[in-house]
Amino acid sequence: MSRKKGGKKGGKRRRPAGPQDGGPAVPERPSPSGDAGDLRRAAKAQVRTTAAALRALRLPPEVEPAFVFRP
Amino acid sequence: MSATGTGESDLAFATVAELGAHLAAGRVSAEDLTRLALDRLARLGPRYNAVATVTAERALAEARSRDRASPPGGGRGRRPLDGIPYGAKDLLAARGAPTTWGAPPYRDQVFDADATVVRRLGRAGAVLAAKLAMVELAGGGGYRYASASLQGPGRTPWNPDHWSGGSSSGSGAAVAAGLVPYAIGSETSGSIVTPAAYCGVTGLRPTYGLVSRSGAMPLSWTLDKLGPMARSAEDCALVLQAIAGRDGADATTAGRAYRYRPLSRDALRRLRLAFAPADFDDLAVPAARPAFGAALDVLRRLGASFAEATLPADLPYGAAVSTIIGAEAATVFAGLMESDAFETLVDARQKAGLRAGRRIKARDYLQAMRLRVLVQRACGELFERVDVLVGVGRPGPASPVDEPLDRRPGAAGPPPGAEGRGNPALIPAGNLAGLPALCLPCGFTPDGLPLAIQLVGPPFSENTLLSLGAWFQSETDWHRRRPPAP
Repeated sequence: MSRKKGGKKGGKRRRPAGPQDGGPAVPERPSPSGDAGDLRRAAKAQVRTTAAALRALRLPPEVEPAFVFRP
Repeated sequence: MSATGTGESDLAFATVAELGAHLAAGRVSAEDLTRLALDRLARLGPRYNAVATVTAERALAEARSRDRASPPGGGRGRRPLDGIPYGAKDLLAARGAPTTWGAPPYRDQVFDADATVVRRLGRAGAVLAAKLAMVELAGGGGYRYASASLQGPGRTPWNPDHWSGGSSSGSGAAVAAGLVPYAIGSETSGSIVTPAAYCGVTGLRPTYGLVSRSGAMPLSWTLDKLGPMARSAEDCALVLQAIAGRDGADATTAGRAYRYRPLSRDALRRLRLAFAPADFDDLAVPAARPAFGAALDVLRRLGASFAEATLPADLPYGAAVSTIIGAEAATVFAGLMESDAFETLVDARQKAGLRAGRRIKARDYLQAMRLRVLVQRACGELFERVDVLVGVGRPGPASPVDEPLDRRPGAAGPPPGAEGRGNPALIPAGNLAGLPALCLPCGFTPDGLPLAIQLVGPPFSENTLLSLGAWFQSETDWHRRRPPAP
């Protein structure tokens, strides 16, 4: 199947610029509906940031998660 | 304890113990107290956006029933909560009444049974007068504005241009404004401590598992707690007695009951208290430091020993708590997020945060749950040396209602030069470890906004915290202050 002109190219898709790139930050005072795109990007960036902080912890394997299943 | 009169204002700001004395002496009836609460809830509640639903019909029926069962003037022997009205955060089911969870998609939600806490309070003779406003979905996705509620922005009675705190916004404001003598709030990470601090009331976050959550909106199964917000530590103890204990409908309940046994002054002198000086100076806003310092002086005068203690500064408490809440809330509200109703949520950041929770990977959730074990161990080691860790409720007073919440003091991390000092993450750390905390009013900023300290102890140390809180309140009168009349 031929690819449409101007369609998705091969290779890694470029991530939209966000606050971490010096791009648009979350607006200071969003409208009641908010700038949904910016907020979504900021929220996803937050998930990545917290994941990085957690992954940076080097915990020994014997540290089990709290509240593991116990029959 | 000072006796109060039976005029409207005195009754509206009386403690549970004082109201019980009035009932026992026959000076008022349960119906009198209930009518007063219903009138104030309807008349003043909207000023603070504190009320979701006034349950007038149910309340009057319950009050009359209590007056028949325990006639006013019956003297001693009344149960402490008998005939006294209260309010419940609107995430608690109350049969036949709307239970909105503070969110537009649930504005018409009605359950046909009471939450366990509501049922237990009913058995203790308490009268449900209102469902109280809250941040939508208890703020599970994160929110940026105080307006993130079906009921509008919660306003503190001390200055309605400022926030009442969240997510138990209405519970804090209703108690502070004298609409109800006490209320039930919930905390996943900060939702009792914050509104208690911002509204100048006494709030108890119980140990995880001490109070059943059955019939309460789940936000995070492994973090949610229910607890009292009241006029005094003693009142919190009286309410906790009625609601604590095993519940077959909530498998996480620990099987412990609670009975208030106030510590003697001698026992108090043996308590080992600790604090982190940086919390009270570098990390606190300057306008709050005199009140915080004075509160520490009161605790010192009580005779308890005072040392310095900090939790490990190198653990990502905030990242862990947001990952756990995000992942669990995304599961709880998966169906909502797939429906058109999701778009009717008030706060845009809340929606974005809930959606982003679906992207949290299992390995990161598990890593956060493993971190909890380290936090528990660190707290366990600290509480081998210390009985009570004293911190600030919040580092500063309530922010203006229209100010983004991420501009509050401490929201963006410690100020320059204070990194790694104090216990700025006491709220997430205490919640991760399931620890109890008691928030006590301790003064005001120069412009009249309330401030609070918090006492944190090891699991199931509620009696120590409440006893120390009661002694603190016997030496101060911050908890007896009344906000400006509207």
